Amino acid sequence: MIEEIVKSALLGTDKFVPVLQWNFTDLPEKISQQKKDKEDVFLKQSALYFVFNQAGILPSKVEFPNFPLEKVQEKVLHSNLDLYIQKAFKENNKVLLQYISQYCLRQHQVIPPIFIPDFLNFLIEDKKFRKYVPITGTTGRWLMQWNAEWQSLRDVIEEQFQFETATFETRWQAIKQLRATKPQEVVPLLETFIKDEAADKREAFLEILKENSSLQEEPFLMQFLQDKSKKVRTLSFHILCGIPSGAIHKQGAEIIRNLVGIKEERQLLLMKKKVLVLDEKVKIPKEWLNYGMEEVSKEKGIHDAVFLMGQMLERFPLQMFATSVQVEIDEWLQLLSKHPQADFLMHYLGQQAAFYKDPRVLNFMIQQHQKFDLIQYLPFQEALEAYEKALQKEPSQSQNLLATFTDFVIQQDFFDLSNQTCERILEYLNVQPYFISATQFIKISYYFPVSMEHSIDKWLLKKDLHYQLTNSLHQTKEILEIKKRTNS
Amino acid sequence: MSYTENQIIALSPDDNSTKAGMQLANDSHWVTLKYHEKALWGECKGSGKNPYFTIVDLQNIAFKCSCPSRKFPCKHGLGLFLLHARKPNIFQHEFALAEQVDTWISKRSQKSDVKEAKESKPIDEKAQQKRAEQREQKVKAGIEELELWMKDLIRIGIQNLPAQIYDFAKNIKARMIDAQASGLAARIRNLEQINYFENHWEQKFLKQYSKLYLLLSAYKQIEQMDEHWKREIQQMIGWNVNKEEVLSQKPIMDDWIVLSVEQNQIEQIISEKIWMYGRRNQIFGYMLNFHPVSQVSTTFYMPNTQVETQAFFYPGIQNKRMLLSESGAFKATNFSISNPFGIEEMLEQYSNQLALNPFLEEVPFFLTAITIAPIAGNWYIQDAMHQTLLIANTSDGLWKMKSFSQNEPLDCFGTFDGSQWTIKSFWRVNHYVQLTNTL
Repeated sequence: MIEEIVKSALLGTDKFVPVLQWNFTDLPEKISQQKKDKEDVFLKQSALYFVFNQAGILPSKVEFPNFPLEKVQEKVLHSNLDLYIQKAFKENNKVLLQYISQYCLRQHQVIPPIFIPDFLNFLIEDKKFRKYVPITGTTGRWLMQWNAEWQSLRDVIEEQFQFETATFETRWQAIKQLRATKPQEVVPLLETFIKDEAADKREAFLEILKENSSLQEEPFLMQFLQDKSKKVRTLSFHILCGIPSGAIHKQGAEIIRNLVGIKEERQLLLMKKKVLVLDEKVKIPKEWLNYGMEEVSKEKGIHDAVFLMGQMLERFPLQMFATSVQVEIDEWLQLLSKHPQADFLMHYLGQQAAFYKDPRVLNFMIQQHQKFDLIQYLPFQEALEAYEKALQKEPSQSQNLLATFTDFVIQQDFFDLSNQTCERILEYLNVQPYFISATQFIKISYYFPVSMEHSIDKWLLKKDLHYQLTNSLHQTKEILEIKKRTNS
Repeated sequence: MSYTENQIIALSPDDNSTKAGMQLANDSHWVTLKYHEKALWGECKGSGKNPYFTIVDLQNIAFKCSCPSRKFPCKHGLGLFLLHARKPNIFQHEFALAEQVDTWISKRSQKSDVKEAKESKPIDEKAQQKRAEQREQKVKAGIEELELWMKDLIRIGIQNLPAQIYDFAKNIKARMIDAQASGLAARIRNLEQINYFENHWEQKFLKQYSKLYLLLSAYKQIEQMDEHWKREIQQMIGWNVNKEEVLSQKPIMDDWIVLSVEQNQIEQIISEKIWMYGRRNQIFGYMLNFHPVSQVSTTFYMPNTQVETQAFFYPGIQNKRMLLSESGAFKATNFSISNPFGIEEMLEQYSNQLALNPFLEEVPFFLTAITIAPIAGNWYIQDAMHQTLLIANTSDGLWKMKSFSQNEPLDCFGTFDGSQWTIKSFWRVNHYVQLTNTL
């Protein structure tokens, strides 16, 4: 009957009038007997059909899949955070979500069930957070069976995934992890696919080999010296420079030996001092020009030999320079500091320090030349101590130290800064509230310990406080409230 | 009664107010904080010289603040209320209300007396009669025009409607508003909101269209109907029932539980529908409030609270719309559904109600021991006997409900429209959650 009704409605009653058979009621007949136009009859009979249809509706029989849920035994995050979690999803506040996620992961807790679907959707959107999949717990794993969009997250939990079809980020993370645990397996794995990757991805994968590269990896890296991409050639060359007993390393050692020497100069008639001297006639092999090196100095007032020295410093480990003139590294660094173009050369030394992360070079650059941007390359605890020490300087002398420190901190997993460091941050911001952006301050507030609450109250009572800092401190108080709730 | 943070946040007019309110829920912002069983009050530091004075009426939730914000409740009201929910101990307990607070609360209860006094002024009956006749004429003329329009459309056919969805009914809808038949305009609006690009749109359209035609036919014979049907049809067309008439109905005294509160915006008007359940009489009812988008609601109903008071139902057939007497303070409830109720039973009761009034739209029910699941792009609800029904809710809220259920059966409150079930709220082990458009 419905097909006839729909047909008539679509075509119009001028073209088609249905003849409806009603066995269970005489109402349609009564309608027809009213002798009104066909449209009136049609509409009333249609209304009748729908009312009867509604009145006689039966429940359907749809088979529900059976996905059992194991008994949930995990501890659920306290409900006093519910409002904040809700707000975090609404505002897409990733910092807060990360904080709560990390807390749950560390404490072996799971997020409240009502938030699990939002969190799963969030994990699908932002792959950086996928390490937090376990905090969805048993309920999360159960829900993934119901929703095809979430099923890819099961791979994260089960640590099984098809390498070939995984995303770039997933593969990169996997290889980085492998480098830490089984470094000898990285190159055989890279060989299976790296040549098919785009240049930027080839570069990213090769970056992983920067750390702990060995002579066994030399043949693999050498082939990238012929790569189409200059960035890939430059990077692979740079890594080869650091492989002891490698061909490039040996060539470099020869060049350094010829380039750099020590001379003793008379000073004030009686004394002698050692100075570094450079041989202007030394040249690099022509093929090195394909690997990012240059023969002719681009810098005004900088001789080609000094320019070459800088480039060599950037690429080769410092020990090679010290060994070539038979001095200790510390003495060599002092000699370098006294070179007439020391300022120019320190830039390249800094690049070397960032690449090789030699603590002797890093500490030299940080302590003697205030290159605070290199602190991030120290091991975490040393870096933190170095920053805290550096922050004792007057804010007006510190350039962008606070910004660098903030960037360093907010990249780490959440931890509590010392009260002293937090006070120092506030003192800096009181001098210049725009040392860091409001967003950065909110992020670093998550690293303030709960014990800073009273201190912040005192800061808020100060009369001369800049309004920007006042606003930020109120938000910090809210963050400390959240931290108190997570720890309660 | 103590309120949860979620209940308080549900009163917020928008997300910005929520954020600002949460920031102010911090003792560092407040100069004074006082508590009495009937109210909270405090002074909040603002950008001006003097702090803002903020009051929250705890018995019939209401807010007052000296700040210039036009939002209601303002961030100070929300902040004060939230702060009390978080840290009641930092509030100084007062045995008497402050003068300002007492004056405000007293004035609020006096307002309703003044309103009733105003309403009992003498009416010019002749003028009223004339206005009623004029309206009657307007509505009749509007209905004639609508009937003609509907027949024209069905005569030529609706197959081209999907190409005309934006304006096929624009003029006739405006015409119904001019004819003071707002109920008919609303039904035409519903026709415009059908999804004309999904399967079986023709059936959805015809169902509403034919029932609208039936309503017009019913109105033409209204004088032959009994008083209940008369009032029912008039309200469906768009006549309002004045408050005195509603309050003159037989009151029903009960413990009324707030089951759900939902807001919808229709053009420049916000409508708020509050579903309630009379515990002792086991009956459902709803209140309907309206306010312009530019203003705010002055009444606040919190889901999962209850009040012992009288309810007055609007006249009509199976009419669930009601008003509550203004006496009685809301308090927390431990309500849970005691009697099992399944889909088959629900459909039977629905049929019976439909037989009494074929124009019924949303019919409320409880369903117990249910589970929900997504199957082939649709969501279904299943009872203990494995009977299923299609669910109308969007999947976001349903996934949360599924997660919350932890694979255990839930009890829920919802409405049935003849084809789909809409879940409004649900319980699991006495834990209540609202599933309307706020979740």
